[in-house]
Amino acid sequence: MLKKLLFWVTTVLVLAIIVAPLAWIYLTAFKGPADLFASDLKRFVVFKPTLENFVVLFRDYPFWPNLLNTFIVSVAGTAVTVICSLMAAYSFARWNTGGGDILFMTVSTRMFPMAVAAVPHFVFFKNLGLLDTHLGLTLLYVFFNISFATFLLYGFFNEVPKEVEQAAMIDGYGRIEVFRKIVFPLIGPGLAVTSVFCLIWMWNEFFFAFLFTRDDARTVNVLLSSFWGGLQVQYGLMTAGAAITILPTLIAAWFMQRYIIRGLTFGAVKG
Amino acid sequence: MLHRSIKAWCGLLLLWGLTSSAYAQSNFTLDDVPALKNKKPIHLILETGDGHSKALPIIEAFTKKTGVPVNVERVASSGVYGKENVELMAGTGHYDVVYVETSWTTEWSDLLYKLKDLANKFDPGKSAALEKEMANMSPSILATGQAYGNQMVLPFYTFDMTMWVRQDVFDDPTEKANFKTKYGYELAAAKTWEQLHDQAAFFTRKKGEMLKGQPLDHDLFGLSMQAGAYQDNDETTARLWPTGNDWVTVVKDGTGKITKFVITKADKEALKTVLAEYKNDLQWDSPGALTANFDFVVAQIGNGNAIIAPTIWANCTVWADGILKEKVPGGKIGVYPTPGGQPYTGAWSYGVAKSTKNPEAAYWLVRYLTSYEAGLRMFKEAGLIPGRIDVMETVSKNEPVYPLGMLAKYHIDIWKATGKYIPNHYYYNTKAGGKVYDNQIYVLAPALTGEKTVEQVVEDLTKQTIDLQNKFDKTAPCVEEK
Amino acid sequence: MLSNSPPLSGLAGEAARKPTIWETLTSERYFRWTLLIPLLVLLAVFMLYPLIYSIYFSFHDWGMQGDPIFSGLHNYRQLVFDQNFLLAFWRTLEVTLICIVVELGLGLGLALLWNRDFKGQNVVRGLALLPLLVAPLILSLLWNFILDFNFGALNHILSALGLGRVNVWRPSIALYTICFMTIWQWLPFSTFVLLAGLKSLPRDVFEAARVDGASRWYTFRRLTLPLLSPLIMIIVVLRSMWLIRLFDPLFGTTRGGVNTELLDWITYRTSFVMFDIGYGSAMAILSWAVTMALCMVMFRQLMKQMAPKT
Repeated sequence: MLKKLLFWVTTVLVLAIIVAPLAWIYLTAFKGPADLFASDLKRFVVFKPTLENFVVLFRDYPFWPNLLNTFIVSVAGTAVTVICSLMAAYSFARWNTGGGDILFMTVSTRMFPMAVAAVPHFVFFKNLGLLDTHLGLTLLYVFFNISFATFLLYGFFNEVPKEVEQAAMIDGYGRIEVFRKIVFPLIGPGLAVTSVFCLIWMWNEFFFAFLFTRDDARTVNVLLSSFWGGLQVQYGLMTAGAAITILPTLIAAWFMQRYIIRGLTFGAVKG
Repeated sequence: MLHRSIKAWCGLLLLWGLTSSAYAQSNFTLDDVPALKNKKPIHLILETGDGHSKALPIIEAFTKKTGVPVNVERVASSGVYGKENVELMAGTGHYDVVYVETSWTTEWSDLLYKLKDLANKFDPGKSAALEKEMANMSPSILATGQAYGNQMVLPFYTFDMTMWVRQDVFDDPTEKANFKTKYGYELAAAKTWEQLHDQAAFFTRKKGEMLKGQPLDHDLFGLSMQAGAYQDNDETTARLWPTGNDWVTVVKDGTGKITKFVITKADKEALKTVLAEYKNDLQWDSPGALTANFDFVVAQIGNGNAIIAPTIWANCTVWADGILKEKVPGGKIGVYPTPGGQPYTGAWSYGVAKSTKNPEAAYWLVRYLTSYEAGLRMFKEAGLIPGRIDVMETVSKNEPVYPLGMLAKYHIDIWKATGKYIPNHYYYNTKAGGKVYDNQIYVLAPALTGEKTVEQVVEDLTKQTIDLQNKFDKTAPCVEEK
Repeated sequence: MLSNSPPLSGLAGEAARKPTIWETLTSERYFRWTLLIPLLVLLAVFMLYPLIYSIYFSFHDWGMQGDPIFSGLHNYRQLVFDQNFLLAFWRTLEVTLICIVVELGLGLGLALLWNRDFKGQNVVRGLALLPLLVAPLILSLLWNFILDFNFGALNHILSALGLGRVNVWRPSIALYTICFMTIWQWLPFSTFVLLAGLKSLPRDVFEAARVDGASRWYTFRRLTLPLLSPLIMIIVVLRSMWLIRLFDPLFGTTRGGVNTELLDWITYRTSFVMFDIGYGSAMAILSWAVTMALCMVMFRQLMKQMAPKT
């Protein structure tokens, strides 16, 4: 009994620390300007909720179009990333292509300080006419995520025993068919984890979205961060926007939860 | 927080709208814009924030009158430099009208049209018409928007510094009497930093002590400053300039051409003194000051947690007053020159990019955004202070004294006072301005937090400033006086 | 590895005909490379260009205006003696170490705690996953508000409880506040990875150990930990890669002030706030080289553990 109590006390405490700041976002989203800086604790939780922040956000700012841009770019980006990294990871895992060096090279691109790469990328994109386009931002996001995705999937492919594939090939399957019919179904959880991570990352990216978009492809994070303005920080609008923006990733993560928990072993634990 | 005051002003605005035709004759209006043949859309940046949103109807009016579509991109001010710089340098030609913080004017001067050239080309009244319009603007603010004597940008709104004091507290008989007993002179807005120290110490009180005869239900701080890695350099500037020194001394020959940039011994000594003083003043400020930006100061004053903000942006006054009214009944802000009388100054301004495909419309949009009509609206509706003397005069004549009339009067006076110093200051004469300015923010901060000694910081800054100045401004060498 | 290839008997009869491009690409010999084409093209386009650009400009002075001026090794020489850069480097290592140790420790604790069936486990786990989902940059802006000395929720709560206010941005502790923000966001990652690992451990081994009367501590030390070690390794490698590039928590809070400037922030402000492209490039190249060298060692180790089953 004591053990059970201890378990729940710890669990509730941990959850409180995790949830409190998020709850604060949602509380603030419904606060009017007067309650925002209120200093007594009661008014912190008990206040007159208002939809004003949401009304202003929807009326005066392109919130929905920007959210749609985020959606388009991150979904398209995730799809492309997963396809490209599936292929590459399969090659690395099955044939040890490049003896680990190419894989390391791939992973190491993620360690380059990207703020420095922003200017050359910008000039490059300008020449290709990719500035402020969904395609341009998608390509950038694919590049940023492909190394990590490849590395993740590499682990999952390692889990699939070679013998299964060899048997299938003896049965007359071609390379593509083996991949499609035998290997692919076996790495479901791996795919789920990889996609969710890519999706979350792309959904939340700010720096490059800020620089490489203007209107047409502007993402919602750029809008939200702009409420941190020169003369005024519009916490109300920012939290209202964030409250909505979190929801889709939340739903995605909720439905994928089962796979995520199965998939996060990276294929590394061997019984 | 601006909402409340805005609503109040809306009524007044309506009234003004009905009577404005009386003023309109002498001022530039949209009717003075000739028919524009080139209808290519204009792209520009407008800062985010409730206040700046008040510029949207002004821009719409321009489109309605001229038929030139204007595409407005909302960006937070902290992001403007990076975004515009990349677009301009990469030569995308995306921004037709460029939003400029005045310390970058010289740096970008090769990328912007001289406004005079555009006036000669597109204005029926030629450059004389532009000069007539500029005669209505603050000379000191205009000077911040010049590069090598040419006007590159016109001020949209200014960020003159000011000192806030809680006027109701300063006027309180008990406080006045107590102060006089203790320090031997009258309590009034500080003219010198020494007086400020007395007042700061006097008003720093613990919870339970008295203020205006009432016990305090929270700790009270004498000062509130924005000493975080955001504007610590501007606060230092407001302390440095009155000493008669500068970050770098600009040496010009008889013709006004810059021959040398020198960091003199006196410059360094003055900087050491003011930094030590600045750090010392933090003892009367909330510990939060070390990461504070202006919004923190606004909140401190607005909530009645601090009495004096010695170096704060005048255009935050309406905002702070809005909070104060609600949180501290009877609370009132007074605006005064910063101690020493040489506040930091500058303006967010608009200029025309050379890469624009529609220079004519861009020129007229800049003219309209910085016009009397637009300036008056921005001031009354949003509390943003335009760089125009005529607006200030109208407001000080026709508006209630508090807070707009008071602000207007402050600006008329401070522009007169500082006009003669500004054109010589280092910031407005260097091509490395944007870089040196941003570097200062980071180099100064450790002196205030105590991570490094003042001497160390001044040495670091001297070395880095010379390095940046020589790297990015080849017009004249920069040296240290040995 | 090549010896694993199955015989190409199916294609032998048609060998006389010249194979089409598709057949060549999917042939046993080239298929592995075909699969890499999209990856390599992307990396070449997006990585090589900025890399060459950065290397070039690291030997020049350039502020995005006028012509770059060749300056030889000046930027690098300046960098090695740049106290701010070295301090940032040191702080980054400190943050990386603190975060990884804490995340692993707490993560393992929570994973062990939640590795059982209990009522509402889906809700608990779902909630615990949340911090990973919020945009780090927006989060840093909001943390700044929450942790504010005078107006933040934290200090309201503390002072209401009579504990007095805390200034979390004191220069002596501000870096740990940054660590806290980071750990708060990333703790779910290590927790869930380790939880997934615990769930996939072979039950029979533990059953056998229990029957043999092994103590809990003994089982944990001799069975659980070694079996989890590849996952711990993965967490260490991935997290250090990300932590070395830590940037977002600074953006909305200290902006590199109060003793918190990290490697990516100083690189960012040099090359993107001040647009000192030459010096910023030198910073990027040098810090990249060093982090790669550090990660290379760990990575080699990891690759050995993750090598395909045979």
